Amino acid sequence: MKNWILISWLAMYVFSPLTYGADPSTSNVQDSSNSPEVQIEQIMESVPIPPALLEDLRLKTENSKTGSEDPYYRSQVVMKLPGKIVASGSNTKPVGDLKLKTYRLEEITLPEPWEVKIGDQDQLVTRAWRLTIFGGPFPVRNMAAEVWIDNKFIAYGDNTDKGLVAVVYDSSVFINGAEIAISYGDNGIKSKLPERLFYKGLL
Amino acid sequence: MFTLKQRRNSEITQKRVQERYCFPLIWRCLCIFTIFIMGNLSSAPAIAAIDPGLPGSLSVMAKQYGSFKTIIKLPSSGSAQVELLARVWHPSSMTRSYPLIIMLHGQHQTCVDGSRIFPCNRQNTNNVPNYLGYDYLGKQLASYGYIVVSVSANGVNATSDPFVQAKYPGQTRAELIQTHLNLWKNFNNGGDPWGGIFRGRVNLANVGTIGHSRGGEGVARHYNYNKQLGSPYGIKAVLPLAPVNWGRHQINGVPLAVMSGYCDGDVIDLGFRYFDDARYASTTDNAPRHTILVMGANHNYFNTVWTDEPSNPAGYGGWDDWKNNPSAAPDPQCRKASIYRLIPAKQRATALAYVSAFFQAYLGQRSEFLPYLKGDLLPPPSAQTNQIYASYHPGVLQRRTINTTMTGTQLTRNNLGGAVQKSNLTTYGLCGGALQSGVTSQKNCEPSLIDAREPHGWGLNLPGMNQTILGWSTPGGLYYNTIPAASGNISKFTTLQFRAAVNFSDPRNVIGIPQDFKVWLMDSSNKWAYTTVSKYSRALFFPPGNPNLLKNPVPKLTANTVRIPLGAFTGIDKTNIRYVLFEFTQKARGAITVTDLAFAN
Repeated sequence: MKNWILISWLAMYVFSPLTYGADPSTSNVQDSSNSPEVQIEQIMESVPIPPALLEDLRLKTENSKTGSEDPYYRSQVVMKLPGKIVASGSNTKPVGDLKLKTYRLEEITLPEPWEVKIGDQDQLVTRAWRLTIFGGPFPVRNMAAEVWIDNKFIAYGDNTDKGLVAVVYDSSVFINGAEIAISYGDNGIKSKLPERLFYKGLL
Repeated sequence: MFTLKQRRNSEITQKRVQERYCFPLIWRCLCIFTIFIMGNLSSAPAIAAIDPGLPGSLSVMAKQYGSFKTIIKLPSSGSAQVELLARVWHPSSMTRSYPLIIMLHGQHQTCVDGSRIFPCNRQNTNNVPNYLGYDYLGKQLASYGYIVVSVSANGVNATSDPFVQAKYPGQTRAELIQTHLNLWKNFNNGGDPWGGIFRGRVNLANVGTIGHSRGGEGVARHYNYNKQLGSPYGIKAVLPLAPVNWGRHQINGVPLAVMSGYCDGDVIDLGFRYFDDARYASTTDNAPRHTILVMGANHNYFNTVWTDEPSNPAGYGGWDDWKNNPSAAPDPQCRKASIYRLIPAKQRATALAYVSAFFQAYLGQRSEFLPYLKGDLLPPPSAQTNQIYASYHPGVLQRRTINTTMTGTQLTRNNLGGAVQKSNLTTYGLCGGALQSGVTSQKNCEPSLIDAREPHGWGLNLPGMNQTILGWSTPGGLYYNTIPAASGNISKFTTLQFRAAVNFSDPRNVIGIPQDFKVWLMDSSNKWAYTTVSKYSRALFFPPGNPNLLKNPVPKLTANTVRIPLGAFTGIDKTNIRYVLFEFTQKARGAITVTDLAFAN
């Protein structure tokens, strides 16, 4: 008898349209119309938290980096400072899944020398390079967008309202004539920009 | 035997099942037949009395507090701004103290223009409400008597990459959770902004946390962070949902469930290392842990805001993470149009069933839901698919470990001190973990060398868990563990269990065909009894997916728990067991990986 129960239950699963028989063309349509629902009495608008309570919430600060040592502060500075355009492309036709168009490379003069890690070494730098890739949309996901120059990873890309931005402190990664590409995750397939990196003179 | 309350619940469940699933005539007939059987044979092992995925009986209310403009500073967030904002679901009529569940979303765009900045340029008009994507879970859990708080973390999302390499990845998210718990401590003391309705209604000694994606790492890190702070809050259940694990956090001392989709196109390693790393890390840890593997589920559809449904504004950036992963998109198993993929509503139904079962089991002490989490029962009807594989590792008091397969020693001597032997096996060694000297030991269990296909193996240049690889080229291979006399009395246990996976690229396995073998027990009087794995478990399925697609994350070698009731071995003396033996005669040849062999409850 146990087998009969199991068989009948499995049969429901295997043949039921609710399990595998979904029409792929309607795969995004919710089918909850006949589901039992939670009884919702009320959904209220948001209420503010009293300022005094907010004060109470402060967690003990430990190992908090401030000022120019704070990586977030640095990223904001580099994102917002005006830069000198040293290279840029001109393509306007979207290419590939990420609809990549073109790029712009800017040199940023930092407000003060920063100690940064280049390779395995801590070094003082006074300049940064901001590579903006245009196209997209570039999805924000757990896997960070990785930016590559001639198959060498140079930095994670940051989603901004202008495009995908990678900040680098070592200009030697920018090889004249190099291919620029993006991937999601180390194992991801690289999406290549239609234009190569070209600049005049030295960086 | 059912109690009266269980019987009443069972009747309600049966009615709901009938209403929900039995529209077409033929299905109605089958359903009525099955329900008839359920009603008359309530002890049948494959059918549960209660379905955790159905709504509870309480009506609920939703509230929100804070805003995207309510800015707080967190210790690890430096100068970055983080909002204090959350959605609350709770029973409409609160008459006692309720367990609290905190939910935390993961990394997604923060502004409707697709950017990941905070605050957005036009405050309060273009923030993406990532935290509202779990309303379906919140209202359901509230209907069972939980206060559920879904926390907004857009500010953390805008800052998280710089902190990925921090000492504790997930720390900023952990601090955000702790901040909200501090707030709820105030609410419980009557300080809530709704006139004190939560005074005395929040049980902060019985808290559960669930985090999705990077939020999953957040709740994992939070568990240890709360401990570091002296455990001001009683975290009693932790559920990382499709979680990242950059920090390889070790979670011990709390019930844990990792739930992930096989077709996850983003967190492609599934996050099961939370389970693996904690198994034997503590000799006193009596907390159970589970993994829930949902075939056909992707990463994003657990959050409605991240889902590409017509009802969602395009600016929320909802998408199918598998479809947009060029490495994986064409895979016949996981591609968007595949019949094996779950549509968003069905994927969320799996979460409703198993998230509800987990929290009700460990916060609500509803032990009737444990069989779903242990894999002893097929998924409940509300899950809308039976392609879910639950794995289970009992706490130390609920198991007698026979063989962990963790080191080379366990190839010849098990953890009880008994000999481990084999015959007629053409492959025998360890794989997936730290390399072992003096024995056959390989880094990868599969030759494909794609980490994503081995969610228990190496990741981020750190070793995974070692598994014993057993391969046979002709019928009759044997693998057996001797049980020393001092450990031979297993009468207090109910189950023999282990985890196993089928090596998908080994030509000795037939593509698409499940493996099977015999499991024998022998007592000290040389009496034997056996059963086959397939009689009790579906765990030895052939992992689906096309291994020939470049960098495709599937097939995956996922270790799934096989649990065989000791009652299946009849006519032997269970107070004097001497051998546990695997005999590979059901299939002419094959290769599997095995770990975590134990007697258990």
